[in-house]
Amino acid sequence: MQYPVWQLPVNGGLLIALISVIHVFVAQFAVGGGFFLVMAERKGHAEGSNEILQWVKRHSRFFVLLTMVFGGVTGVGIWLIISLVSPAATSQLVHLFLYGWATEWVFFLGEIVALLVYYYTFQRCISGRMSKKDHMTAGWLYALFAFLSLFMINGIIGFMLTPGEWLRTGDFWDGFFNPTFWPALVFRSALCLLLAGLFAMITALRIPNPETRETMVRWSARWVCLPFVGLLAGAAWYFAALPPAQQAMILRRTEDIRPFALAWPVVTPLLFLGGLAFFVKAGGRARAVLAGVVLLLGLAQVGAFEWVRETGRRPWVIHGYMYSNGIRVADVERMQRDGALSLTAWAGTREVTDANRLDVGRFLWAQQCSSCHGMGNPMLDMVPRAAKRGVAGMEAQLAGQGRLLSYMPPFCGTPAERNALAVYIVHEVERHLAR
Amino acid sequence: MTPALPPAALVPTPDPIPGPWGWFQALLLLIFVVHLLFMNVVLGTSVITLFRSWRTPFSPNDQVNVDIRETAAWVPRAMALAVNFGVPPLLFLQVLYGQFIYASSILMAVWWLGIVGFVMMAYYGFYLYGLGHAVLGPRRTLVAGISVALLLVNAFVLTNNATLMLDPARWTGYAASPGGTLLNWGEPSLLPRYLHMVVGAVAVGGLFVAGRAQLLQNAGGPVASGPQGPQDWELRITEGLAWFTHATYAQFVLGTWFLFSLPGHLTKLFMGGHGLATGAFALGLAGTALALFAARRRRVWLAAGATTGVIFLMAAMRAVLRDAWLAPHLNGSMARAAAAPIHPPQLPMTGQDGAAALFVASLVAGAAAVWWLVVIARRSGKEA
Ligand code: HEC
Repeated sequence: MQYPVWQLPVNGGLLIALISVIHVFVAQFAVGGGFFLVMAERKGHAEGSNEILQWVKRHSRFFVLLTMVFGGVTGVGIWLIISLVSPAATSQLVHLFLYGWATEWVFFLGEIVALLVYYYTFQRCISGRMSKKDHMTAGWLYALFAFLSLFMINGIIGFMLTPGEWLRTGDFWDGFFNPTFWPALVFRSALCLLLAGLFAMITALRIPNPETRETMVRWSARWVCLPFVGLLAGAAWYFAALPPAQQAMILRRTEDIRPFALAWPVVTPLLFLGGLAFFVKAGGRARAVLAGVVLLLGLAQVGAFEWVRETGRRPWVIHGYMYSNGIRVADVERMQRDGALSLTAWAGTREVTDANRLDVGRFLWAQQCSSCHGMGNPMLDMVPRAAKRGVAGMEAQLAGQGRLLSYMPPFCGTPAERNALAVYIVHEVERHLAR
Repeated sequence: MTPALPPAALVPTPDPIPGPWGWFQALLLLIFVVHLLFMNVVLGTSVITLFRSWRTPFSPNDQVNVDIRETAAWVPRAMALAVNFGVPPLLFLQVLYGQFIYASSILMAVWWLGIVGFVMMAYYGFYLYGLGHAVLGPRRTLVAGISVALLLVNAFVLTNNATLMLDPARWTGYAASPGGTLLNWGEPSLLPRYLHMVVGAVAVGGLFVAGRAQLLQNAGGPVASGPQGPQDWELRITEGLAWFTHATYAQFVLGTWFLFSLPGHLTKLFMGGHGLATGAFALGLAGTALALFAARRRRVWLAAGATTGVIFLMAAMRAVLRDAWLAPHLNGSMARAAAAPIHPPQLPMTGQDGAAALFVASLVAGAAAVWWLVVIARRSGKEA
């Protein structure tokens, strides 16, 4: 919380969620896609089907365009947005897991080179200038590197939700192989295969020869349906592996979790049924529509899961170590004793005076509340929540915050700062209500 | 707000780093040079492509037009690698200088986040360009123009952050604009630094055009491009080297401007004040002279080799400049972290040796795999 706060009209968390969900959707499809491509190519070679090989080749171009660039660049985008919205947490993750990130980068590089070689030599393989074995090996390398980058990132994401033994030991491996590492890996791997099948169904619908098209659409639909076993088992294991506090936060379903926590169990079976529906012969038009619907269901499924996982961590960014607003547990006592302003110069002052009360309040709001709450915007809007409380009521709420309402961090500051924040909130809320 | 507190107090306390400072500094420098090389190919080749498509009458199949397009097709490929090789430098930068780069990025957050969009749009622009003339036709100049503009804005954003992170005194602009739209206009070295980088990229783009032509000439020309006599490759080599030479001459002016736009005590570092900085500068000038000489003699590979060396030296000078610029704050904030008057004792960084071994092992295995992939790709290309 020694960093400046980016004060933007929309909530930073919302921006993170938006970029991440799109990225995760595309990136996980790339991971499953690696395996999909080589398995489909193998089928093409085994059946000596030029049709299938041509399709796999076209499909791999889709990877070059979508996953390599869009996936890669949005991945960097997540990194940028989290460093802008949660600099303290990002710094912590970067310093703690530096070698993990660096290793992931190596895998990402291998993934790009393997994919480029795989795609640009596909025609050479079909025309016999490159051996099938070499080309398939390039494909396997792509799949392997893509999976390994999931392996790495999975450890780091899981750490934030369940840092486990790390809280005691500070050890890299304790943080990396944290309590939800394996269940999350099973869950995500199944999801990756499923998403790969989803995207493949869409390109398979455009295979010219009707017979091959039918075969490959069904073959791809199997990729959507079979991983469901892993997906459900992974999800159950994942939930069971969560410590009680995290489970409770998800089950508690505060206003912003509820729709997503309810959507997941609805969307997931629909997705399965959508996959099954492709085994029924139907017209091209109907199937194209169905494919679009199933794709959206996939996006909704990924979005709901990621949202619940993120919010289930509340009020933490690193569970038990750092709150969502970047304040470390270790700093709370000092901030309450010496003041939130004592730790940072970004407020431009270290004391609350009559002249600067509103300014200090605005600063404290940005520092301690804006990571979760909007002021007059849809993310957990403060306007209805604080309306009619008055300054005294607001101060009372702040004094109890974090103890009574466990989904929020405690307010960290002196009584004078608490008063400044309350004055500012009431002032803003009235301004919004008067509009 | 009352800006009563000294700017130095704005610098956050850094987190402990998980290994020796010098090791990360070396990795930062080495991989940053690779990033620069790819970035230069992207930016330089894009600028040259724009110019060439503007000056060359469009016709779908003549040799020059085919060459323009096939050269441009390398832009997106190089861009994917430039982005990839940009990741580790940003990572190591955050590890060593996070207390500066996070803060400055937030002050210019809108622009900083914007680079994601700029890069992506420029990528798809040049991807379309490279696909085939049937796709864009004469509109190719417009598409190239938009993509180049995006890349130039992108470069400007990066130069802004590279300078804003160095100077906490400029961070006080936050009080007036907390929305993340700050740019570092007040910095006298901003413009020369930017132009120095961009024109350097154009020089490397010229070398790329020449180098590609040289390779194709050696190989006897690609089958796909139709019958092209050796004469044409000679012309392409001349064209590329001309870009390189002119851009490099311009650097004597821009580089000098950049040098003297720095705060006086930092200019002096390169003029005898700092042994390493001065030595790298002198060697860099010698390398530039060698590259210009090689270009005159049409020795493309010598020019490219010398230029790579010069870029490495310039990156090293840049690192010295950064640390000298930051020195008062760097030492101050490190001392604060070490004495930890602000934070209670940090968690120790344990278990990092095994993690370092994991990284090194992955690097070796990754390099081997990449090597093998390149070998099979080239072999199958040759058997044609
Ligand atoms: C970790 C995220 C987070 C942070 C940080 C946070 N809140 Fe909240 N806050 C919530 C959630 C979640 C709710 C409950 C939403 C719901 O279900 O209605 C909430 C509810 C509230 C309410 C309504 C409580 C009630 O009794 O209905 C107030 C008032 C409030 N927050 C004020 C604040 C203030 C002031 C700050 C900054 C000091 C703050 N919050 C920081 C997440 C947060």
